[in-house]
Amino acid sequence: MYLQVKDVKKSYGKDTSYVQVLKGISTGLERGQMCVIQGTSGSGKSTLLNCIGGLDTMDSGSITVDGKEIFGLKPAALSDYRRDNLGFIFQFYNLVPNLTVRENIQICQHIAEHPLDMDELLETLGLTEHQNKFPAQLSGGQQQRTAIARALIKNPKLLLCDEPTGALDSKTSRDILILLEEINAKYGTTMLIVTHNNSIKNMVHKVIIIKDGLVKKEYMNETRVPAAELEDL
Amino acid sequence: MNKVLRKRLLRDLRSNFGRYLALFLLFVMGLYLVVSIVGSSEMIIQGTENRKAENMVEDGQFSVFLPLSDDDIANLTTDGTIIEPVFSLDLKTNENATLRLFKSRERINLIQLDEGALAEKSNEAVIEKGYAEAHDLHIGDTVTAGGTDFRITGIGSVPDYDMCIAKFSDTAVERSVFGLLFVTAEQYDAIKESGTVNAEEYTYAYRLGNTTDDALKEKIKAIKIEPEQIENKYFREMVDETLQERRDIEDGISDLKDGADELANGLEELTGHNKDLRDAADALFAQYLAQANQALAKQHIELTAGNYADTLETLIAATHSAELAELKSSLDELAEFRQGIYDYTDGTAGAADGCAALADGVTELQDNTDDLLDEVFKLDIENLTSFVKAEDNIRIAAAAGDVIMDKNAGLVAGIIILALFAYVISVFVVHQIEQEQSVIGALYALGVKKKNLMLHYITMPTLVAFFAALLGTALGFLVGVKSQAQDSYAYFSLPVFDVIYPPYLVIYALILPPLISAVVNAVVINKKLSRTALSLMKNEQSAGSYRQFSLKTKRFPLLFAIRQLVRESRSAIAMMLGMFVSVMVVIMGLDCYVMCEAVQRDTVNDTRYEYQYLYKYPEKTPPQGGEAAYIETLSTDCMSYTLDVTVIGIDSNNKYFDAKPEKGKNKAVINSSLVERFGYQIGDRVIFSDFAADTDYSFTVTDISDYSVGFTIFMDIDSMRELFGQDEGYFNTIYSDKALDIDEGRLYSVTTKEDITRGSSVFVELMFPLVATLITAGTVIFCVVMYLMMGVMIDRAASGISLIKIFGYRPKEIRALYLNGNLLIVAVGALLAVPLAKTVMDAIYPSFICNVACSMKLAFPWYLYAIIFTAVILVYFIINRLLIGKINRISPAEILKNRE
Repeated sequence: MYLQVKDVKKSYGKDTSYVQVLKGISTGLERGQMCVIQGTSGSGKSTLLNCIGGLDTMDSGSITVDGKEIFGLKPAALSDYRRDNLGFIFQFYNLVPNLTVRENIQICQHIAEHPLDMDELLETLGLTEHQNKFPAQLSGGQQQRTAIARALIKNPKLLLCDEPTGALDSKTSRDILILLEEINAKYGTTMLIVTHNNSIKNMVHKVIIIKDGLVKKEYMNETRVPAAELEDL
Repeated sequence: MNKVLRKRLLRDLRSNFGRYLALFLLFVMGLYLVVSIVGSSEMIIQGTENRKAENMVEDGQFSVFLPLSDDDIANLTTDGTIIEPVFSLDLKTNENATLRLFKSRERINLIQLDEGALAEKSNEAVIEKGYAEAHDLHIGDTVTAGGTDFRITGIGSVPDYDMCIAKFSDTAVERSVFGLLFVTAEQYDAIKESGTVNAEEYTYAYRLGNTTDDALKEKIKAIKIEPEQIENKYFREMVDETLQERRDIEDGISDLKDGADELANGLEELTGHNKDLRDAADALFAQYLAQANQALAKQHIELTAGNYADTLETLIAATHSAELAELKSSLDELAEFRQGIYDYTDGTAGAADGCAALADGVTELQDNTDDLLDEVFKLDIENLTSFVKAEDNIRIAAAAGDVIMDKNAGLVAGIIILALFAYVISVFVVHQIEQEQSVIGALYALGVKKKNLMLHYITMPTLVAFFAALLGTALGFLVGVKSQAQDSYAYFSLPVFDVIYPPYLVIYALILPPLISAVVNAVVINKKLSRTALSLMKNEQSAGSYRQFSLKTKRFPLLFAIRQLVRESRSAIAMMLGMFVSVMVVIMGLDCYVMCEAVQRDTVNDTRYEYQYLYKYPEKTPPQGGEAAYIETLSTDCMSYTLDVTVIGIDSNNKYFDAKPEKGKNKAVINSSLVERFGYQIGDRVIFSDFAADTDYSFTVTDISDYSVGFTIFMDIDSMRELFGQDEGYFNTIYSDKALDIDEGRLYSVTTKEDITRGSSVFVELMFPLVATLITAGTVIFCVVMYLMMGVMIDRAASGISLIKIFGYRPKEIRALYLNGNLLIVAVGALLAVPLAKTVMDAIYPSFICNVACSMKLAFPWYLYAIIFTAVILVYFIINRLLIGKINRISPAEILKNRE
């Protein structure tokens, strides 16, 4: 199993403000799979994503990526783990506003050992003509595509997407999802997508539903609906 | 809603406590410095002004050869003018210092006692406070001067020796070698009459009645003295020499007249016998002719004086008679004798007439010569030797004059510092608003008005500025003013002034900081809050938010650093401004140090003689081993201050000066100090004045000498004598490399190289505290501003740093992107700011020393620039190091909470 999550617990606060967000989550994902994590607000899905991404520490449990345990890693080692393995896509894109599209992508290209070809990637994502624009000059979809390009340039093994279509309209959301689907097919990138959107679960290989800090349900889609055909996005 | 905002205010203070504290302390320090410098200057200026009335400060003073008579004083004071003698005697102490002895003053320049009481009995004295401090003298101690012991009954100061220097030409106060003593009139007279001291200086102070300085001066000039009245033996010697010359001429003419008279009388007497001589000669010839006629009677020949020669010639030719030939020869001799007598008597008669005329002429000469001698040997002497108005007296109100520039510099520096601080605050506020855009948008949406938000965001920086101003001003007035004034107290002879609170300074210090802060922030915030609630909530960045330009570099870290710098240009500008201001403050201190150090070094190096003897009563010939020179003192204006210019007349082979002045009454070599201060060049015409004589002197600059002591010009000594109407061979100064045996009574002063060396070091010692304060203040401002601004840059980049941490950037790479770019700003900024600040400071520096005639070498050695630059970079690295912790504390998850 490429990604293995075992009995992960995570809490915040002390005494009266103590909240246990993850109460012992266990799950896993094979290499090259696309997976959706669903759940209501406060269910712990984003916390789980942060723990997997090494952005947050867990109280106990185990997370292994490609066989490597990340629990207990020091910040520097976590940083290297993210550098070597992960790509991130956020709901609000988090582009650096004073850098152009190309330069935003260069942020990750700069630290990648074997980066993808920039021009090819820009072409793939339809950003070639926008590469010298600043984020404020782009539409939401273009900004998200830039964020995807930035995440993909270092050819990550695992792509973590936190509500990637949360700030986009239906059409743009579809475009982005089609793009993710293509990338998965083209580069074999493993993808973990946190989303509220109920339709997206139909296009991925695996669905994990979390409730109150526990995996309520997880299943493999026997038949996947192509992103272009998803309804109610 | 306003309650909510008020709560946010406290929360804001708590969450940004460190930043506000740094700002607060920066303001406190800035205002403390401004209030200290300006407040102490005002205290001294106002204190000096008040002292004029309290201590009855003179309007001027004048010196005379002989004390004024009661009639003279009565004549001078008819218009209500008050005149009081301030005669003095210079007494040597056992430590080879000089104490100038005065009678206790009664009407003018009154003594202000710091402690104790005035002298009431013999051997009691009030001592000048600077000398007392330098020698650790206290009430009840005894000081010995001129062989007399004085018990100190009081310690104080007088306003006419605010700058306590022995001579007007002295450039620096030396408290340990010159001071004042005030004793009873009886004690003073006793010392004067003891004969143990030399020349007494007859100086009077005056306070004008219904007249002017010039009118009083004219009245004093009208007072003449007879040479015989002068008691000083050297002055008498000078007068006697002059009188002897006149007497020699008078005696010569008198002898000439006597001789002429004697000759005329003799010739007159001689000519009285002329007729007898002629008659006798005629009788003798007639008698001999008669005898000849008697002998020739037989030939019926009668000889006469007219025909005897022809008649006898004829007869001798006819008779060949030897007797007739002998007769003729005898008659010829007699005729010749008689003619000789005629010629002689005619000659003596003419000589007698001539001698009579000569005698008359000599008498006339004698009469005319008396008038001429009266004119040439004019001994109708003006009693006035010098007249100095208070405004031209460098001893009076010197401290007040010295601090005027401090005050102006302090006020200007304050404005610059406040503007810098306001800019720094505005950077914070902009950063805070950008961080809280979504909250602001939400508050807008909830109905909070823009003016409420404006008030909210202006409140904290304004309060910080106000309370900082309050504390800085309070500390400034309570501690700083007195502390700052210590420099003046340590140099000038001043009473302890009360701290004053000038309304303008209180307003400046208390109102201006919060006002500037409020206005600057209002302008900045107004612009930031002008967006719609939705735009703010969505945290939208307009397309024009960032300067859009393309960069060609392939090096991503460099590209990123440049983008980051452009994005943080406001902070970068604040940092550069902070650097410029603080470097300027540091350079002001260094300029001060470098100049004083150069004055000390050059003064010692340029003083090649060991002794300088300045004559009051010059000798005829220079003493053996001495190099004669002629010195006069003129004046020049420097920013409304009157400064002395020493004119030195030297021979071309004078070994103590390098200057080679050309012959010519209007040609001069000027020294480097004049060039540095006024920018004079070779070929320029320069004008200096003798204010006492109301005369301007114009010179063409023929060369520039490296001699740096004071303001000095060199002339050819003969040309200078001619210019100032002195005799050939006149000199009034002797330079020597060894001590010479010159009677002290002839001298105004003896200055040794040791005196000059000691005096020149006073500047460095005095200025050191100010130098240290300026360098410290500049460094602190620089450190704090750099820390705050680099901190803001990091705060503003927190999301970006968090983001790249998520991507797996290592700490070193993060520093390269977010901190190392600042090195470029700091390095380039320092390369620009240091020379620029140096240029600006050098341009305004002359105004700080416009009341001092000294050289102004401000050039830094190269290593000083290197030290400043290195210090800037070092400070950067230290702050950089401190900020690494701040970067390390930014969590990767930060980006998930905030977004740009």
